Amino acid sequence: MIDVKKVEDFEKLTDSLNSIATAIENMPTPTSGINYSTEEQNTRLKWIDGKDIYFRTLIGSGSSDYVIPIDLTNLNVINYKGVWMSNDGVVRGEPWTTSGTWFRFYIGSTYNGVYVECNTSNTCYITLYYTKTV
Amino acid sequence: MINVIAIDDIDKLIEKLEDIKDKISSGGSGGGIPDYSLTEKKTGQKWIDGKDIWFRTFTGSLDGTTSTHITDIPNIDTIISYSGMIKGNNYPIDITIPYTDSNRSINLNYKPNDYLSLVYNNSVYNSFSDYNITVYYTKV
Repeated sequence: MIDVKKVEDFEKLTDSLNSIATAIENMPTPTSGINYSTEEQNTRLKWIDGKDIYFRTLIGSGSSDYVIPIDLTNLNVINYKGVWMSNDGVVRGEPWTTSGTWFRFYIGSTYNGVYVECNTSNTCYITLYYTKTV
Repeated sequence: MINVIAIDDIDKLIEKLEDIKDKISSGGSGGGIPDYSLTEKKTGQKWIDGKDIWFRTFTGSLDGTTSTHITDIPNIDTIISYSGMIKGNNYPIDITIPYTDSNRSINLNYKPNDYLSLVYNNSVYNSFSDYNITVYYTKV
């Protein structure tokens, strides 16, 4: 005699295994182990339009406004994050605005680079995240 | 007749398999992170209260002089973090969200069970338009 309940349970089990197989097939590529670099890296993630997201860290230094050059012509910058090293030995976030001190990044097509608006001597690190338009 | 496996055991096994499927689908906290999407996804990580962390990207254009509401929002319990970017509109620079300087500011507000909104001043409205913002949250 066939145990109907057991058959139903095994069908559920089969469904679960199939759904796991599908999930494995669609599993995203692991992103761990990708190091920051001044050279372009692929995050192995995709943006909302399905395009690959790349990232690259830039280093700047100056005591007043300056541009960190990077060819933005075919890039769509979707985000950036950065910090700056104040000359009092403190690492600070960006954007930074106080009455006497400021430090801010702008992504500027006009400048074809990262415009660093600042009024203090510093070294800064900015990591750009972008897709490519071509 | 030999009872190879008890029905209760099968139910537990199915439950475990469903958990495994969820973890694989979300990328898992130790490995991959899902791609960005306009629909919500699990990050595969859990917040300090043990709840799943979800994320979703919103895009649009500023549509008010001081705020833009995003009303199609998930059932948020706690907003954990967010970041985004807004592009200059006939203006040569793009900036991140949140942003503040002496003339311009833009940030995110959340009214529980109602809306997310970008809040900014007139200088931002006059110079910037298209935004993307990705919000990380737990659900009720």
